[in-house]
Amino acid sequence: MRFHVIGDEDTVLGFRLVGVEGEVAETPEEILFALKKAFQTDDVGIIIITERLAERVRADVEKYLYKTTFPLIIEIPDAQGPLEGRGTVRDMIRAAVGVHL
Amino acid sequence: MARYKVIPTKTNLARLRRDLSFAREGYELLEQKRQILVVELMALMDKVADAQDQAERELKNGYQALQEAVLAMGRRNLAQITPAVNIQVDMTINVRRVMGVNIPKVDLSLTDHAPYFSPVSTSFWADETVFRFKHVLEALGKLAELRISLMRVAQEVQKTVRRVNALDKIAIPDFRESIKYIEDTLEESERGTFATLKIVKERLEKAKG
Repeated sequence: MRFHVIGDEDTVLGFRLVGVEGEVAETPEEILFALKKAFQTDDVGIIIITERLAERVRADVEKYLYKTTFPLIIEIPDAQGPLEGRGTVRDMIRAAVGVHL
Repeated sequence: MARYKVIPTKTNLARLRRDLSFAREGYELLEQKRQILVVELMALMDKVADAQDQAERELKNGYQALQEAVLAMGRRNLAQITPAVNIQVDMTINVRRVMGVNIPKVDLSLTDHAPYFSPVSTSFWADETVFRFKHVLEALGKLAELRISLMRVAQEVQKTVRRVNALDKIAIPDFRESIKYIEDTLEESERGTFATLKIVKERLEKAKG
């Protein structure tokens, strides 16, 4: 199995340098199309998507994340660095589980 | 709190008592499940935070090298050498089920077949980018495994908490109330019957007497 990357030009170029195939996407339609395609490819194990792009199709990413066991999706910061106002893992979990932890 | 619409009979009482003990059992099991999952969640949380830091650090290094490479060689030249890079990624993803949650386990191994391109016409930074992005891939494999596990466990905790609360705050009290209602009603009618019998006895004795 292999990685598949969806991101901006720089990110995709970087991963291509280590032999990871990928797709440059920008508009929500392109991102969804790329995601769908990656999901239909059998040997894709992990989909790497930049946070910036994932944010544009947040609802769909969440859907894939929780509903499908496979492949795994992972969000990474792009070359411009992490997104502003992104919560930590702890915040995310707190939001998901509720305060009583 | 709402009582179920039941006809106060002994059969219904027995049935409700059975249901109540079943609900209690379910509540206890779910509560145990919740506790186990929360422990798992806490353990995962720290690991994810570490893996995330690590991955982001590697990624930042990678991007830096990439930027240098782009500056030195131009995007097009750099893109042209990408097909030459032959790094084999062997990835197996196994799924383990813990308490009804699918936990992925990622095994990665990268096989290198360097050198990929002539050092003469390419920048040092191109090599460096390849090198650093290899580390990125390794870190991302680990992160993917942990992070997805964490999110799925968190979701399961949420679901379990909802069920535990539904049983504890709604189902069990409702059963209790219904049972109490039936017991009261049955007792009342028993007293009624008893009183009637007494009166009948008295009248019979009077009639004899």
